[in-house]
Amino acid sequence: MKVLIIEDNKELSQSMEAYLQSEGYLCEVAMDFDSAEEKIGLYSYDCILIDIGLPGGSGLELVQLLKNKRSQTGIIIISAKGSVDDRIAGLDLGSDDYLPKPFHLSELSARMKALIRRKNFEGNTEIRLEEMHIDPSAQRVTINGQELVLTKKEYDLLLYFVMNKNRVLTKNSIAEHLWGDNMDQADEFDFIYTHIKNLRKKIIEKGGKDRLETVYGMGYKYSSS
Amino acid sequence: MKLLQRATLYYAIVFLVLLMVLSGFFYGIIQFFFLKSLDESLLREKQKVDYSFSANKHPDQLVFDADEEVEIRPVPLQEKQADSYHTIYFKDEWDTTSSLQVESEPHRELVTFLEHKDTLYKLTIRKSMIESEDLLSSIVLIEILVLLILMGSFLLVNVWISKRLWKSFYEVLNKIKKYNLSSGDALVLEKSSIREFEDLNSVLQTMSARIQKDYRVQKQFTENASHELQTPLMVIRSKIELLIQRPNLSEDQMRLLQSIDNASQKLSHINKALLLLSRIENNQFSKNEKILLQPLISKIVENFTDRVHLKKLNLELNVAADAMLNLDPTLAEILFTNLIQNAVRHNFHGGSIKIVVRQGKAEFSNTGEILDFDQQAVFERFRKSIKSDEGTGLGLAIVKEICNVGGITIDYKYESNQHFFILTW
Repeated sequence: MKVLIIEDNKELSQSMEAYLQSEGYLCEVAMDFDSAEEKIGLYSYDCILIDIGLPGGSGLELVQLLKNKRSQTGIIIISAKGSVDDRIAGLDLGSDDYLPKPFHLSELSARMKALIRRKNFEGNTEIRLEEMHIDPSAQRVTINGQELVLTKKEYDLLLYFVMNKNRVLTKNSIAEHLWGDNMDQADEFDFIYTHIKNLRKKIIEKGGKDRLETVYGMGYKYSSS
Repeated sequence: MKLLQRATLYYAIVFLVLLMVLSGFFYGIIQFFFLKSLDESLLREKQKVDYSFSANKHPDQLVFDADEEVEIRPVPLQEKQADSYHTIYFKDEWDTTSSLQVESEPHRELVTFLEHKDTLYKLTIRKSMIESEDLLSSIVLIEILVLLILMGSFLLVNVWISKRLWKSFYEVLNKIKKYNLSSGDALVLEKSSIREFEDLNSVLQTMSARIQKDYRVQKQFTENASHELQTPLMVIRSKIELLIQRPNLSEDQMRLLQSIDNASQKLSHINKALLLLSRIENNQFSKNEKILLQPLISKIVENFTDRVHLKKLNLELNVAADAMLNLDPTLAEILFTNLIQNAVRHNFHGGSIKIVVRQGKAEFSNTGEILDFDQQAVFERFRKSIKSDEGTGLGLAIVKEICNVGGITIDYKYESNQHFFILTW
């Protein structure tokens, strides 16, 4: 999987690159408009992350450029502006997703996976993890063929873990993924704990293996080979 | 008290004092002249008698005017004194006979001595002053009347002139009262033909332009600063995420990282809120449209279901189907999210929340501890309870700002252990 990261902040692009590389992606980085334009012209990517405010031009123009090329690349706009206008403009131009800064790398990774899955498997986006099957289009989970009945939040939580398997997810990142900004840190622990407890119980009941690990006070990790 | 009223009052007081002093003064002067002329006429009578005497007429033969009383009486020579004038009061003879109760009348009397054929006569000439007194009082009365009319008209004219003169001042005052700094419009004042007011206008206009500029710069600064902070914050958070993926991190190290992550998370929440606040102030949300409140509020409440359950809150939701609000949709969502979040956050375990929305009015109430700061300050930025570590302290400031922008009135009160936020539009 080839990914192009277009982001002018060096530290940030390095962080994204490091995180995505460890997920097994091949990453390239462009730090200004011109080099990004050149790379888009020369190579094709599975996914492109575009920052809107770039030296030398707007990321929105790059989205336009890709659409003109009728490229099948998945496009995620990452923007510090966070304004509604940008979001609408980006999605109108044909970007697939919009992630306002600051975001968690785990959130980015989850969205990228979902996007690439949607693009590449043309509807057949089923995820197989040992005894577990997840069908995102139907929001259905089965373990050894038995259906696992989950609440919306439990399902979202499970999918988020699966998308970030073998990664430590901070409680902050989980809370933000599930509830947005409206969560208080003091409540987070109880919430996530409750949902994870229920999720574990349901998976074990259906004969699945509990792969959720607690990582000290930090967060959780879903381990899978 | 208004300037004009005060000036008029002062004038009136000064006028009254003047009126009293002046009328006394007039009375004195006029009386003085009256007496003088009376005395002169008495003296003339004396001269007449003197003349008659020199014509060898006997005192009994003398004829006098009807309004005079003359008494001639021989007296011993040694009683002779200089002429003297007196004012005396007594009743006329004809008065005493009448049945009418008449007060003693003032009379002017000249006591003089004349010699005739070796006899000294004491001559007492009296004239009634009643007529002159009457005249005097009429004159003084008319005088006072004239003065009163004069002063009255002066006051009226003064009020009229002042009103005209101060008109432009009051216009300026009105303009300033209505002037809204955040509207971004310049302060425009009409030209005045009076130099002082024109000076005032130009000073005000320069000043408001300056304040406006500073205000804009200040607002821009907040937005720019929050914006600039966004990326470094994101760098910190992304590095923490990378770091925690490392194997062999000790529990201790993990906990340190957790603290850093929590703090940076909080920092970015505050930053986001500040950015939002300055964007609202800078009118970046102005796509007003009619929003049906029932689906919106239901959706937001849905998002809080988990927290409501966790805190075992009893939530009562009553939104009229026709309740609508004309506001930017983004702002509307933030407004109600913040209010509901506030009601959930500052609540007791097992407390209650009540949301009642009608067309034109929304009431959010929740159980909770009384504020440990001034009730009026509830919408101020970074105003938080000492006990509460949660939240950015900006949620209600954002609510207030949205209400300002959207023309919604919001009131807060604390009654029977409950916080009430009442919105009217």
